[in-house]
Amino acid sequence: MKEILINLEHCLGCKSCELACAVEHSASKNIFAALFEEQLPISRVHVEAGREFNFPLQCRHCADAQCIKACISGALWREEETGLVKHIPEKCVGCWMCVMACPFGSIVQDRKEQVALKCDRCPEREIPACVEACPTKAISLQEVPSYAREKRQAYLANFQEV
Amino acid sequence: MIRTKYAIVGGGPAALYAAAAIRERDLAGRLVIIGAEGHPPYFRPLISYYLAGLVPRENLFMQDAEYYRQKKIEMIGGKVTEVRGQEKVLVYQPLGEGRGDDAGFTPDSSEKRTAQHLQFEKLLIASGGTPGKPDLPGIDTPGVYFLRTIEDAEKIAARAKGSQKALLWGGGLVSLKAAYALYRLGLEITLVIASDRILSQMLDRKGAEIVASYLAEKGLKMILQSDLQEVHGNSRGVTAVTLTGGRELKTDLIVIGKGVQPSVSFLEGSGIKEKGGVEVDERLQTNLPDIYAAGDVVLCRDLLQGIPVNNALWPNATAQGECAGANMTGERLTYRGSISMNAAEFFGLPVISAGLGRAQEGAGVDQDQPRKSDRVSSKEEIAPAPAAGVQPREIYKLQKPTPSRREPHYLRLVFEDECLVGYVAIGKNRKAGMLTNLITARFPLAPQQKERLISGDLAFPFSI
Ligand SMILES: Cc1cc2nc3c(=O)[nH]c(=O)nc-3n(C[C@H](O)[C@H](O)[C@H](O)COP(=O)(O)OP(=O)(O)OC[C@H]3O[C@@H](n4cnc5c(N)ncnc54)[C@H](O)[C@@H]3O)c2cc1C
Repeated sequence: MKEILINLEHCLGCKSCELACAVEHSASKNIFAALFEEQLPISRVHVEAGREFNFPLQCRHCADAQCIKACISGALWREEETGLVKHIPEKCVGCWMCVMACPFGSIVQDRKEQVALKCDRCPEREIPACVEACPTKAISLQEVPSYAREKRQAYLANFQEV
Repeated sequence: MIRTKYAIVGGGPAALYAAAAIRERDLAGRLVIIGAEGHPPYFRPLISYYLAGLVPRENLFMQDAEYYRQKKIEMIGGKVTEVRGQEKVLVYQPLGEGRGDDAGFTPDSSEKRTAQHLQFEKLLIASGGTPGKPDLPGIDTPGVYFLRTIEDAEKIAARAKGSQKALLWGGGLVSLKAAYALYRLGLEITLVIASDRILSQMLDRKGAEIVASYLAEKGLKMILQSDLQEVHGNSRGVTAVTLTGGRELKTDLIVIGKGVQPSVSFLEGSGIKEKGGVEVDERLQTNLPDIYAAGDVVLCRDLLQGIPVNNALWPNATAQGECAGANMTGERLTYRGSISMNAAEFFGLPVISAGLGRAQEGAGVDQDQPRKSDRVSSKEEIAPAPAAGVQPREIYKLQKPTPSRREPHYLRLVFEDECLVGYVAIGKNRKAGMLTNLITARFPLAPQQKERLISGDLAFPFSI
């Protein structure tokens, strides 16, 4: 299964990924047109910048996803074929149970529409927008054998020591 | 007599998550769910949105008929009246015709109306909770409701049509959700609350004040430290109530939200140990082998307090169901325990609370001094000489001064030594889940990490 991996040392905090993500999830998928859309597009990746390191954070599509178990409306579900955690805004009631449950704080809120938003791994693209936009390749999409999932978790734990 | 490998009593989320976990491991063994509502498992917390007309009926159900067919999950509409724990037999009363019309549920034919027996190898008690019905003169007057089931929501919606005033008895989550639904339907809302604050199970005093003043601005009336004494009605149902102290209030409908108790009455004589909730071990097994329990019906270890409590909440019901289901197939999963936590949006204001977020304040000590600075961080209290075995707590409150018509923003953090044990977040809350995770992981914070949290900087990725 492919996973989005983050290399902390390479992230400059430039937020290109945020911009690309927002544009990808806009109606027009065009940066100039998107700026004039009634509802400004919202990025589902968020860069923590300005501290001792920078870190882009988006949904990790957890194997044991707390957000799905917390969802009271059926908006969050696991797509069997891809293993991805998917979200259906039409079913979302904006109760924020998922926000309370996500250990990474990676659920994004659309307060205007009162729905949660999250990374959908760009279903219409081969390479997710954030990966493609990253100038330093701090964000990459890589094949990760399932046994390495634990390692990935350990990796995530390690980033606080960077 | 029906024979089955797996039987589940109750058709809520705990039942469905258990069934799914069983089917992940065992596709062959017969699996029967007996549910008293005659509906397949549904998103119970959605019923207030359904009442408000915000969610259509078909969106309430957790899975469609095809799912149950594919996973070979049989559902029977029936009420279990007896469990014979030693014999591994249960007795149920079929619901009869006219029920069980929803996707996936087998309606019972009329000749099967008599009590049925079912022999099981493994049993899960997932019977959830039942709203408490206070004893009060006039309580059975038409127009007095609970909000626990789809039918409740439909009855309230029907009555709301010709009504102008609604009275919510209780100031908890369900009451506020019902209040919002009825407000959306155009009714005038009054909450009668016995406690000295709204959401007393979820919020500290300050947090409750912030939410209450926000709700008051929206036009809600809240009567604190008051209770119903009598319900009055005429041929068309409820017309008014008398409050303690003698005050009379006119109302067209009443929704009772005075808490929920584990549904355990049918377990009398079963041999299954319960103390107002089924007791379980760390594998979610009851005192009887092969009989498990999950969801709102259990008393289960609280991660923070270390004692069995009834944390009757959706995420706990699903996680427990999943764990119990796996263990019913012979796996040996451990359930670490649950915490109290909840999230909701009240009339547009997001509120999240987890762990010991509302942990008690020092008697009258409140050092919160609203300053003109952008952000106020104040240490509320270091609990004086704690009782034996009780950890001293440090409580910090952060509050942004709220310009008029702007959303309030409040964060309260409760620490025991180097661990975060609770929080309340009102307004902006995107990183709340990281805090929840710090609590459940019992993550020991380094001094500078703790400092950061106290300063309101939640950006640091502490996770996992
Ligand atoms: C209006 C409302 C809003 C809520 N909002 C939230 C929220 O925002 N967040 C949150 O975490 N939780 C919320 N909850 C609570 C949440 O719905 C419960 O925690 C959850 O449904 C518990 O699941 P369960 O499977 O244990 O039990 P239940 O959902 O109660 O299901 C148990 C089922 O078992 C059946 N049953 C009982 N006895 C028998 C018997 N003897 N024989 C056969 N069947 C039986 C019952 O009829 C019921 O259908 C809300 C609840 C309500 C009513």
